[in-house]
Amino acid sequence: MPKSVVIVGANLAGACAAEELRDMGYEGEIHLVGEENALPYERPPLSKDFLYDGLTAEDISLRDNAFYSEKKINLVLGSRVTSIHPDEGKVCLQNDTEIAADNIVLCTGAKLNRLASEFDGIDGIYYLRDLEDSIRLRDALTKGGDVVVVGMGVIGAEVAASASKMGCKVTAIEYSSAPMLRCLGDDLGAWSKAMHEAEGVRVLTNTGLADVKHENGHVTAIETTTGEKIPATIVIVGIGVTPNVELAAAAGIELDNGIVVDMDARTSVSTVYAAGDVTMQPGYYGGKVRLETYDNAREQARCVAASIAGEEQVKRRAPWYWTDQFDVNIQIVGSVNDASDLIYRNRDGERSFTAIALEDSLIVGAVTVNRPQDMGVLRRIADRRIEVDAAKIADDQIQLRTFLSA
Amino acid sequence: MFVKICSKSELPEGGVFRFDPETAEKAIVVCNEGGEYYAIGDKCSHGNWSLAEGLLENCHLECVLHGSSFNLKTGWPDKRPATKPVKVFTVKVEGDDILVDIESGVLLEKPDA
Repeated sequence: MPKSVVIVGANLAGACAAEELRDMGYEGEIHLVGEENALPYERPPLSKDFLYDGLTAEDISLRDNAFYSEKKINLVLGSRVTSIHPDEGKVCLQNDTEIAADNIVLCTGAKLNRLASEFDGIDGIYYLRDLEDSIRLRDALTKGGDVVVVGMGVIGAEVAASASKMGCKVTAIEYSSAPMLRCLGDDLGAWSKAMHEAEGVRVLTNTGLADVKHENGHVTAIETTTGEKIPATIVIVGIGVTPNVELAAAAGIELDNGIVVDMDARTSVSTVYAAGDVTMQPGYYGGKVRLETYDNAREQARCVAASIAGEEQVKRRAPWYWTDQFDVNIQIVGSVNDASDLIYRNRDGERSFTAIALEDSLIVGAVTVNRPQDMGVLRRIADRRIEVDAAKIADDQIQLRTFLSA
Repeated sequence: MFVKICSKSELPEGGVFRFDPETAEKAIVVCNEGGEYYAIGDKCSHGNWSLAEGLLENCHLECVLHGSSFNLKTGWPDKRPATKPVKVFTVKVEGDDILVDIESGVLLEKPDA
């Protein structure tokens, strides 16, 4: 067993890895290093109830200080790792200190893609990734105004819903043909657009951002690629992220749109592991995938801990995530993107249904809308690669659970 | 105070039965895990969701909202986002009836790993 583990990134993946190591009986040193000053926290609320429900930083903390001291997890906050040296067994911090590390765990996450630098410094343009971002955005949305959301990926769609809930007039522009297209595919993407429109969000698809107009340093409007000028006092940009691979790159670790890891979350350097948004890992359905999800962060953290502690690996599962927008809980397993036909079941109006994508009798993707109980079962069917009959799974009279015992 | 929740025939192996005495806060979920009966608080300790909607596996009941599974014997979740336990209740079987002492709910200490 290693005497010392340094985890770079005091986020969900990093904190889970630290906790899991202790739960698995690892007794060596654990150093959890993070750039932010706040205790490690939950990110999902930042685009939702943290904005509109008055949550505090304490409410979303993963654990309190007492927990880390009790578990002998050395929290090093407000501190940046400048380089890692797996061959010398150490990690260097910005203030010229070093920490000995038999194993290094990279949970360096991802950074926001930003608009062209010509728009830097214009007041009223917001991005959302961390706690400070969410606090700034909350202050702006609370005051109200005309909001334009640029990019309707999951975060953009959540923020559009939150801003609308907070009473702002919201226009959303999306470069592709539908909101959350990468997650939902064409048909459900169109459904998502209609859902946002029914809630009063104006959604412009196949529309990009051409220009940001400003007066006295503050944004006044945006201009779209289709030539429309939309008044705006608050512009929220959600145009994806880029994995933070710099430390790994400098250490000569293999990269491919992220840090390449194997099934044990190990990088190309045997003493270095990685978990969370930054990793490019073997996909459950083949190929390689980079997953920016909560479930992946906690599962991969467990995988890292098991590798280091020499415990049995957890069984791999189909990728799964969820999002909440207005009164709609959407859950997604696998991917429905490549499906030519979706099978619908349990449909009760536009806000309650389940859609399933089959390929050779196997579930390759499914989406539930306000039916998380269906997803609980569909995930198991996908995880166990159980073959299902298309006509039967389309039949509402046949309970989903029966497919598990088939 | 023991209260009849259901009959044995209503709760086969792997079965989950939700009992709602008054309010959702007080709801209890009773499970049949391999012929043994367990009862825990029905509301997930993280979000406002009924555990009875989830699947029973390896003596754990999963919250379908975010995937934390609760141990039926200890009430403790296996992973985030839930970090706090739910209450564990006393169950007994009389003839064909399954009864739960609805005042017996306790939050147990976290067992050692």
